Amino acid sequence: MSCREVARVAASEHEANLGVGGRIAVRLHALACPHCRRYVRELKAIGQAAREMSRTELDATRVRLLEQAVLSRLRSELPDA
Amino acid sequence: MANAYTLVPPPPRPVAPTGEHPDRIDGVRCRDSRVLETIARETLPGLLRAARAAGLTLEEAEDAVQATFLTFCRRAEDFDGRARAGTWLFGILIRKIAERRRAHVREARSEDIDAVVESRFDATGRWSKPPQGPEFDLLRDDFRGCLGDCLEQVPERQRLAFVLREVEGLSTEEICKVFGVSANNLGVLLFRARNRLRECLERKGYTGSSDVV
Repeated sequence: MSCREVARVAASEHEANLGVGGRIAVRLHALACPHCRRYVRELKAIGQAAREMSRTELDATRVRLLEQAVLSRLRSELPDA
Repeated sequence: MANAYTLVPPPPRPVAPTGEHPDRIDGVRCRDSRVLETIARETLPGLLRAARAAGLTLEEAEDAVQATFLTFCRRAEDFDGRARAGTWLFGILIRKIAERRRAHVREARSEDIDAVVESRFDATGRWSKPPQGPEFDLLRDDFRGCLGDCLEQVPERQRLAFVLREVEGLSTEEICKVFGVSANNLGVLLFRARNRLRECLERKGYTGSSDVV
């Protein structure tokens, strides 16, 4: 199992072609190899940062206005509204 | 032991791998206003973020989200609950976005980012240029701006796949349903999005303090 392969699996989350042995090999490699460990850690940190950023991204007032518009539209569509 | 180490970040929220909660399926199908409104409240911010991630302006995104809920309501009796209502809504949204674009751009077979990643390995597949990059200092003031800039540069489909996975916490299976692509295709989208972001942040100087001499 090469670093290239480990990086590909980590970034694509696509393990279907690997089989059970391959999956174990990827995990063992990532545990033993500091570069791959770091790569995986960085990808995790990017996801985490994107999540945290998105929490403050939307303007709450604007979301509430849109929600009201959507709900009143839905109610007018409903048969027994 | 099974959880001793996972290669990929787990979804931020626990997501039922298959299907909507049984109580809700009938509620949606009979267009029970309480159920539909609850679903609308739960899913609206995520749909709006996804529409923005797909490159729509805020106004366009709001229109697309409204149109999505309208279609959802009109087709409610077709809802079979095999996917969560949220997944179904993301699927409708993606089609609304595609309608806006008309010309649907297919993902290129190979891209610059693939070559950039490839150049980091030697012939045997070992790192020749190991990651030097982001041991992100999340507290650094300019970090969010940098990540925002980097996200902007990621092509829309890749960015949307990344946002659905990392921010909205959909499973890879759900995203495949939403996009109507194979697991292989989704893997390519996520691979490119994540590596683009990583390379971009590394270039911007988010270098790890621990490994730097």
